Amino acid sequence: MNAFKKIKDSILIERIRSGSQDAYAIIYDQYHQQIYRFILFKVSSRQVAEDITADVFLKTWEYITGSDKTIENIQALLYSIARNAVIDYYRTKSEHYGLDDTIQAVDQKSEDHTHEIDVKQDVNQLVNQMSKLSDEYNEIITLHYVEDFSIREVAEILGKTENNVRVTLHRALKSLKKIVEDNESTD
Amino acid sequence: MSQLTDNLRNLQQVQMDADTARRQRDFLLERIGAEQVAPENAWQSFWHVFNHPYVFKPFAYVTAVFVLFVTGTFYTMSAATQSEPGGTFYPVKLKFEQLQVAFENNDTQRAKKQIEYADRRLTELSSLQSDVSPVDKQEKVATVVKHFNDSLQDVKSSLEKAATAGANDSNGDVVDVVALVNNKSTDFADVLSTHSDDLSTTVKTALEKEVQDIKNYSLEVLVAKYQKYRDRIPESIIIDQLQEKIIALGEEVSTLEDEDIKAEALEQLSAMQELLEDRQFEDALAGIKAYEQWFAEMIAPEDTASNEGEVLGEEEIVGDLEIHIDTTSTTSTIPVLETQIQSEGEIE
Repeated sequence: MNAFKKIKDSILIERIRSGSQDAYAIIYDQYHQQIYRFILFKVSSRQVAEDITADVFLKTWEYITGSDKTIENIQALLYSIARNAVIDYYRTKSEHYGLDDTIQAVDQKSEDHTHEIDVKQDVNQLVNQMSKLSDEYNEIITLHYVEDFSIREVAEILGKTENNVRVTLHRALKSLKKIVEDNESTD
Repeated sequence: MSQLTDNLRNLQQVQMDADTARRQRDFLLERIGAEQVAPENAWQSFWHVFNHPYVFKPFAYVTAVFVLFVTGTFYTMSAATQSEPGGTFYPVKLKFEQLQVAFENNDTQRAKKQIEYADRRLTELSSLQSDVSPVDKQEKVATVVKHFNDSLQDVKSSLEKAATAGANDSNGDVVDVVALVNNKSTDFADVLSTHSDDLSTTVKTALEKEVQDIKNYSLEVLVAKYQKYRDRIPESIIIDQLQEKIIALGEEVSTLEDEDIKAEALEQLSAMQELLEDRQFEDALAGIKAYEQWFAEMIAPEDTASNEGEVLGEEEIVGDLEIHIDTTSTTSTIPVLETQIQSEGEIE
């Protein structure tokens, strides 16, 4: 996380604490898509991911305004709250939304475009395969390969050492590759 | 593996659809709007941003450094401006003056500044009267005289450049600077005449000659400029300046006792007056220069005789310092007054 972004986030947090809705809207606009994806890849349901995303941002606001602790990395805070929200979701809900919801929602939006449908199907297949990974592997692959965060940034967000992230990432990718290959051989 | 990572990167296209995102955003803003106490006003926004450690600390450091720099500079400049020859800050004062000259727009403006600084040197010379230590005083007098001479040389140099400058150089400034040189030259001569005790005859004579030569040279520059840019310099200015010069020379003649020289001088001055009335300014100026040379030769034997011991020796002692002066030049251009101060330590 570069110094400029750090300062910018810190200032936004200070503004939120002083009641600025604009500052909160800026944070939402900046991070909602990546938090949504992070959750979606874990819960495999568009509807659930949307609900949890809203919950994450509401909890983030409550956390920021409810304490005067220094928050240097709002991105790490959002991911941390998102992880806990997903854990809470699995803990409290016995009902698990199926992946079919996600596929249907994506396909309906682009039904007139054959190429896009193919792409979406590939994407959904991969999301499905990722959902078979452990939470640890899932989120580390999401952060590094999907969101394009550096090893250092991933370590910062997950609260791990860089070496630990490297090792876990290597194992996660290997595991995903095996899932993909198994899936192809089954098909 | 590469294909797999490429596919993973494609997952970025999985996004919450825009309508859902907008609805969610509105919902969240409504929720937090209902719960918050009062929205911040502009001042509070500014204060929260400004008061943040990442903003306030660098701002505080930069401000502190800036204030220290400005205060230090102001103190130094203030001390330098009031410093006297021999003072710790006197060299700073001189450097600052050079800097101010360098920042001027053109050569005539520079000449104006340099005249101002020459005037300042003579003021400093006058202020040295109260100095109690004779040795210190002699050293300081020598220092001031050196820098006064330097300023005169700078004026000459700037005038030379102004004379050859193109039309872009402000011709109005040339008129101003010539008027200034005329006024100041008179003042300089008056001040120098009051320092017979501090300055040897040779030094004083050389400086007076230098002042007079710069005055004449400024007139040459004005006439040269007028010849090149007649439409930009009023003719009346040239007439007034030359007329004033001829009148001054006439007053000098009236003090002569030798009737033959007096008659010859008046005849020459009449001829110059006619040239002036015929608007032959260059010829009139050339006549003035030739007249001054002739007049100096006519009155020189008596003066030389009275100061023989000093003038013939080209080394003059001012206190413990030796000042070497070239008084041999008799051409119309300003002779170079080379003042070299030699002492045990360098004096600024």
